[in-house]
Amino acid sequence: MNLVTGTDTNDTAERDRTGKRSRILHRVGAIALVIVAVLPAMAAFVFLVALPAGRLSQRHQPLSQTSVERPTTPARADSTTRQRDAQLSGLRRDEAFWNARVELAKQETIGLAVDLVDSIASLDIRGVPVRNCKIRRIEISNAIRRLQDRGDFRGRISKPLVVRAEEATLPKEPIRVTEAPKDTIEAMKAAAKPLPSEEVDVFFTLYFDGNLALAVRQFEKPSSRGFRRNTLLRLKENLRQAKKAVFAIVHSQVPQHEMRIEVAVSREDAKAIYRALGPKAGLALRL
Amino acid sequence: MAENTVNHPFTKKAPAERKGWARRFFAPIGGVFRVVFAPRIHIPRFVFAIVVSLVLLALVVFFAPTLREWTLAVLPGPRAEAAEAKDASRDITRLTTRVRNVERQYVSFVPRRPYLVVDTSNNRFSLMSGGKPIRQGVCSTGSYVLLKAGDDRQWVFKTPRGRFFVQQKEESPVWHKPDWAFIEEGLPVPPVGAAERFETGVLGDYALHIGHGYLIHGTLYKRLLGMPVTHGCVRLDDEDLEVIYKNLAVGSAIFIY
Repeated sequence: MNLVTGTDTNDTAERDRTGKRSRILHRVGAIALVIVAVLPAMAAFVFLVALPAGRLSQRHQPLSQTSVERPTTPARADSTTRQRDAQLSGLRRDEAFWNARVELAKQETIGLAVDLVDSIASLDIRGVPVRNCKIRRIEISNAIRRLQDRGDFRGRISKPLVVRAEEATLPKEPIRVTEAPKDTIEAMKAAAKPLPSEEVDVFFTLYFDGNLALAVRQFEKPSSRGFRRNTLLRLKENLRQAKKAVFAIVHSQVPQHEMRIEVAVSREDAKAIYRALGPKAGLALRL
Repeated sequence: MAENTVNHPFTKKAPAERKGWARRFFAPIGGVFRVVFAPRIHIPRFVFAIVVSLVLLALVVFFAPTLREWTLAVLPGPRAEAAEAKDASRDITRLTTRVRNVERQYVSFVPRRPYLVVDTSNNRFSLMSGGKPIRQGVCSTGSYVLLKAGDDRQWVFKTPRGRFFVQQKEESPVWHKPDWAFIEEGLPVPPVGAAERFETGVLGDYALHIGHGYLIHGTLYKRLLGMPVTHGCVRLDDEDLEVIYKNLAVGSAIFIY
């Protein structure tokens, strides 16, 4: 009886040990699986998110031009100082904007001036504002807010930014192809047809040099078709970004964060702006 | 059947019997997999982990810009070192003067004499003086029709954009019909200088030449004003045309966008 019991106890202990070992091994395996699953995503997060964001958060130079030349003792960050700094940086940005606009006036192409302070988008032809559009909604990338007081960024926007690519939900030129009629009867029939109306929802994004994107959206609620097109446009924008990220990973580069400004204007204004801007149109930006 | 169920990686034990956080973590995902794929497909755990890894990686890559924006919103902003008060006030004065000067330079681009602005997207015009509108209304601009003649010849009827100048002013203009005018009506094209090429009364009382064969003129088809129907010229109502004709001189600027 004792023997039997002793054998049973030994077996149970052996089974427990084996079970414990297998449980530990199983847990280690599970942890390894979780690491395998999460590690690449974590690495991608560091490479694509943390590093570019960290770059944009670096300290920059003092606002005063004269103070750059000699060592400064940082003044107390009281309200007067903050106000003065804000005024200074505002004036510097204004100067950059007007300089860019003057440069734009010297170009043959139709340009766009976006004044985010006064909420006005303006089409300029040789320095003449031909259409002023009220901006109804503005969304600015956090990156721009961080960079706007940096000297290098101001330098970049003190010249017109040039359109490099664009995506839109409407054609640039609504071309309709017509075959020449063979005789006058056919011509008369064609002339009797009513004109097709162009009811389109207007969403477009302009990509400028300097990694800046300007998304112009119509303020009016779009039709279901327009909504679908806009969703597709956003998807395309995200894919474009993803492609850039993959390119950066492949070439071991830290990807640059695209600075994005989104503005909403009326449908008519949006259409006029999109159709007016040529392939290498310039942009003057007031922040 | 029973053996199959026992060998399945996600159905070795009933959910209640599962132990450990890793199993509990993977259980719902495994459940989704079981629903999506056939219940008896055997997925080795490392394959499953790789699939999850790829999905997470794709999500991070796809939403990286958004994640960066969120990170930037959370991270403390870089503050510039404050400048000394004396230097700053001097800088402010200097900068204000500079900004005013550049602004003044920009404003000087606006023509002093009246000019015309044409919006081809919405088919509207504005006669401006000193940067303010003195008359506004509808017009007709290019139809964007691409006319194919069938003999490799084609024309796009669009109004050019940019800055132009009035090159010539004409009263009771006569239209010198180009080839396309005959082709689009299904008529034989007469030789250059033929009498059929000249038509009176169709361009209204006045015409302003802006170069490259484009005109600002009147129209017989007033019901089409406000629509893109022309062959590239700008058509106006008689009254508007008269005001514009009287206000614009040769050399006046026309801005078309």
